[in-house]
Amino acid sequence: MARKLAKTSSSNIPSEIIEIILSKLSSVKSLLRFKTVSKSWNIIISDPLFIQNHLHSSNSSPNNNLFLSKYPNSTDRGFPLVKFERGKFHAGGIFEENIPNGYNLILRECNGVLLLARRLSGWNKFDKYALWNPSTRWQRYIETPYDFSEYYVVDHGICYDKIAGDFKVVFIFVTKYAIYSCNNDSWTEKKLGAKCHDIGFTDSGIFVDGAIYWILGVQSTNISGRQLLYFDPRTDEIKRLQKPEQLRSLCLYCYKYNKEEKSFNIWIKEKGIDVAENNVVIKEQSIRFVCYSPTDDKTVKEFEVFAVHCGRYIPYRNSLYFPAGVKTKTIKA
Amino acid sequence: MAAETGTPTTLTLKSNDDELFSVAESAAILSVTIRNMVEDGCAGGVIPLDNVDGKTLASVITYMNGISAIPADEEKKKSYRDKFLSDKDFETLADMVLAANYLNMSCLMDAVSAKIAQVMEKKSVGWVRRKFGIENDYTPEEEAAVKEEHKWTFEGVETDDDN
Repeated sequence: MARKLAKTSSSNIPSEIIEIILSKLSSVKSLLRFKTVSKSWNIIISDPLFIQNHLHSSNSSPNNNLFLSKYPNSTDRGFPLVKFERGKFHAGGIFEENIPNGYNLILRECNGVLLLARRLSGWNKFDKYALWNPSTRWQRYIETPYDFSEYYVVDHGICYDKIAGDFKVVFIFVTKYAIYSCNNDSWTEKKLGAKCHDIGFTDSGIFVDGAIYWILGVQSTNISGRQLLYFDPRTDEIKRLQKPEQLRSLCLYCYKYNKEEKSFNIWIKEKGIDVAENNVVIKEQSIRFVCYSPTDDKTVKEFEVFAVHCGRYIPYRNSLYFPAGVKTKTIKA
Repeated sequence: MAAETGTPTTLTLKSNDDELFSVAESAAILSVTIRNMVEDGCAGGVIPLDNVDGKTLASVITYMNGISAIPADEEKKKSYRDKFLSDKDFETLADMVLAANYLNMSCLMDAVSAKIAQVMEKKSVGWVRRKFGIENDYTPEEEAAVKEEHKWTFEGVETDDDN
């Protein structure tokens, strides 16, 4: 019996395998284009689980070593992209254009979604906030109920609640904090139960393992001084981290390690050669860095890296994440 | 049953177009599908692989032998995989991804699907439809709307030849 000869077997690739292939396509630009291929491809590429797998796969790709400068280049309009290679940052000639109009600072990052601010010339005062994913070019303005000439924002954060599929933005004020849920487009206020102040250039507010972590100065009846605080999006609570065993958190260890240091930064490093995914890198004084891995040997390792202003950069991720709902093309100035 | 002696065991694999291949058991069990068959005691006779043709199976066996000859060195294994896949065309890669999936070979599956993704990166929507044999089920209006939403992603796409 003559075997039926198919011209190509590729038409028989089942959708589970198509999904695996597409999750390895780190170029978000290509994935968005391929939504046009067919309805079923559009469904695959828009699926939250696919988006999660895709980010995981592009985070662990060896080519994934790009970082965005938090501050725009003074001459060009754009946040410079840099490459992390052989333990150093290399400035490339690439700039990320298409920034939402008027925003001039990247505050925080979570799953490739950036919290932007418009900084007023002069000090650390902002009057407008927006979310932006540079790889999809989606942007969304965040309307706040606060008059920032009256309210001082001590620190910010952005996180993703995997269970609810919701991005949350957190503003820490001196005695309270406010949570903005992107899904509900609403703000919730809570009391801190202590007075918070920023201790200058800690550059914390990082998103690790489903929570946001900050190092802030805290004053209350029973504690004072630098503390590591975290926000859990499932409970909407900000808590102080007390014991290493309490959470599967890497930051605490690093925090302890650096307790005596005059200046430190917590900075997540999920890319590059020396550090495995989900390690936290801490800047100790100016040029020494330590990292802590919760999964490997649970030790703090010191390693030599980039010498300058690590707090300047945030990881650039090939990510399809963005809050559901409005994905404005361009925010009006 | 594998004898408890030092002599390496050889398996015979049969493709769906009835080609026979001899391969060392130690290399063949990179495939979980084959390993399960061996453990179930099917290794004595011929192992039929009904979803893989001879051309693809020959290629997979080349890979099995090549990769199992490399000691535990992930760098070297990776560069072997890169080299192994570098000259394969799209159709061959598509056959291999199906074979790797059927044979349950995760390392080959990862490498081939990543390679296909890499090939696709700058390709047009038309190219993808042709190569994957996908029927465009959008109405012209729907297609225009999806395209309009991501207009910028159509810039810098390779011209539509068949490579």
